[in-house]
Amino acid sequence: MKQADIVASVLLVILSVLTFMEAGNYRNVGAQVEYFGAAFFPQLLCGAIVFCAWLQAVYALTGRSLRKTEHIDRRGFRRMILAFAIAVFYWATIEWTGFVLATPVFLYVLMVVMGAKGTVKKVGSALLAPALVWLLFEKLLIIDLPPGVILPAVFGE
Amino acid sequence: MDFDFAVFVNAWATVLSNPWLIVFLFIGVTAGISVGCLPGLTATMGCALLIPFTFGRPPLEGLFMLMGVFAGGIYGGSISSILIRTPGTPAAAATLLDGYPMAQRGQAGKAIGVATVASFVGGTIGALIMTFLSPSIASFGLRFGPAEFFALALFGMSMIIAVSGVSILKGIIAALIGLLVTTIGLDPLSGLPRFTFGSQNLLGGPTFIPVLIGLFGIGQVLRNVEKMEIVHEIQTAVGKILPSLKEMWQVKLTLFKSAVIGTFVGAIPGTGCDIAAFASYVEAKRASKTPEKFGTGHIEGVAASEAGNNACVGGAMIPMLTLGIPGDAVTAVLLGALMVHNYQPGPIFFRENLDIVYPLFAGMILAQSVLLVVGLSFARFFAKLLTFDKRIFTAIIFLLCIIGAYSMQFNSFDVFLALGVGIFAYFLEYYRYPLSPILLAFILGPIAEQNLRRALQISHGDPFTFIDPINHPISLAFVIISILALASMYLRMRKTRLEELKRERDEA
Repeated sequence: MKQADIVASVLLVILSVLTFMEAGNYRNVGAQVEYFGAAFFPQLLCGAIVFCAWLQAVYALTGRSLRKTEHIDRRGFRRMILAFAIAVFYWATIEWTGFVLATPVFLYVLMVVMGAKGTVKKVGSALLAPALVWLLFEKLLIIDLPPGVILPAVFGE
Repeated sequence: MDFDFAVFVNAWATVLSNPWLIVFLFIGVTAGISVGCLPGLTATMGCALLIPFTFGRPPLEGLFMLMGVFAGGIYGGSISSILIRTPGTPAAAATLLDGYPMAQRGQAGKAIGVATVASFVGGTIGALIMTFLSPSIASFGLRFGPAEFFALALFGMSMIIAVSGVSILKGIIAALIGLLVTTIGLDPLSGLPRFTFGSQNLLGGPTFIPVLIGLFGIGQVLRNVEKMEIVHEIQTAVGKILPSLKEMWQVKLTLFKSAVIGTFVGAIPGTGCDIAAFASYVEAKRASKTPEKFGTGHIEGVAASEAGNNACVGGAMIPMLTLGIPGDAVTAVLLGALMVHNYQPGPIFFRENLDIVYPLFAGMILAQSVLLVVGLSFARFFAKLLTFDKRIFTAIIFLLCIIGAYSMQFNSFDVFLALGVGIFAYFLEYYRYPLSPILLAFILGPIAEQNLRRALQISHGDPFTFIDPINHPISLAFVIISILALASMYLRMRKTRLEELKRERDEA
């Protein structure tokens, strides 16, 4: 994991330097400089992160990084990214589509992406699970799930 | 603040007179066993997923459910350990050493039965020790000032860093990232907004539940999705479950000893139930007249590890309730759940909320009996869960993660936060950065920051105030233990790593 450790160290240093500079803006309260004010803790942490990142980079460059114990399976990785993208799309559009309409489709597509077998099982689970979640949240816990605009427009509030 | 027997009796009356508490405990234990027995789902994930179901309910109901998940989750891991040689949770890794050979001999049911009874005995002893020991520890905690609280937070984090990964450095980096994240939002002392960049959503800082769900729910789901093809369809046969009274009587001493070991190992922040189980197993083997039988399907091996890991549940609750320092990731979630209900665990919580604390003790003891009943009655059902199609299950868990993140504040920002943290957690785990220090840092960050700054202000900026043997001996002790724990673990890891490097060179 030599390369990964070096890349992570560089990213950590960049993040810490930027955060340190941003935290510098919280140092003054009015005209007074506060040494143990709002900037103190984040700046202290940034210093510690830079030190650890440097140490990690030194370890990597001297061949002392940890060995990789697992490898990302390419097909599995693509499937994971696809599932993640589907989830982002599902929630990004839920304000229009609503929980009731979007969730069965989301679940079904996710099951297909994951390679679940049996159409009846997939359709059944994609319908039953959202129904149970809806009943549990809306009726038992009184937590409103996004209604969307389509169903209220067709059937009214 | 000694143990108050009258309040304890009242607490039992409160618990037993409220059927909802029993129902929630029952739901928690059942859900806990279900997630525990499925490899890839952990007790932490179970608690993270169920926290949203506690919103809008009285705090005790929610906490009973989560305690049930904790106890059930640790026990549930033994079922898959025994049946398919894959521990459902790390805590059940020691159980497979003797549980799986028993299953191979056609005694899977008996192994599950022994694991259930041992979990009940160990869990009950652990809960009793927690009940009687906690008040004294809490009164000790009342002597703490800012320096001691900062040192305690440092101690909690250093212990979890020391045991949660294969690299101390990566553990420290993970904890530092977690701490840095807690500085987002309004500064707790001056009220100044930090790193919010004008966003209203960040004013209160990243919300605990979405971060938790992202770290332990979505991160795990994404890993499961990636490794989906490795999952095999499994057929399970259980057979007779109840062990005979004679068999259990023969291991009574092991049960008791393992329970005590498990509780005290669990009470050390950062250790966790896997270490408790192995410590109990090793001690049982050492003390046994027939140590050669261990590892070949010996009842005593299953009993020792299961009594140890379930006793750890009570032990891990001790520092969380009395000092506000979670013992492991699950108790960090429980602490978060208490905070969601506006309670801040610690010595003052202990003194001022006896109406919550003592019923929690009663609930933890009761949870073990519920575990015994549910475990023995539904063992076959839980074994069947292992055959359920993981592809469908994972999709539903993903949905629950998303809805759980949303339901805290009905805010889409929280869902995207959970998804973002989830993908971050996926890569962190792949590159072997442990996740538990991030969660613990997330919980302890505000305590650490406030007390560090207060202590420095009080001492006029003297950094040696934390190791002042005259004024702050407790703080000094915590700092020394933290350094020793990290140093000893570093030396052990270094030795292992050097051996590994030598092997790699030899192979090359």
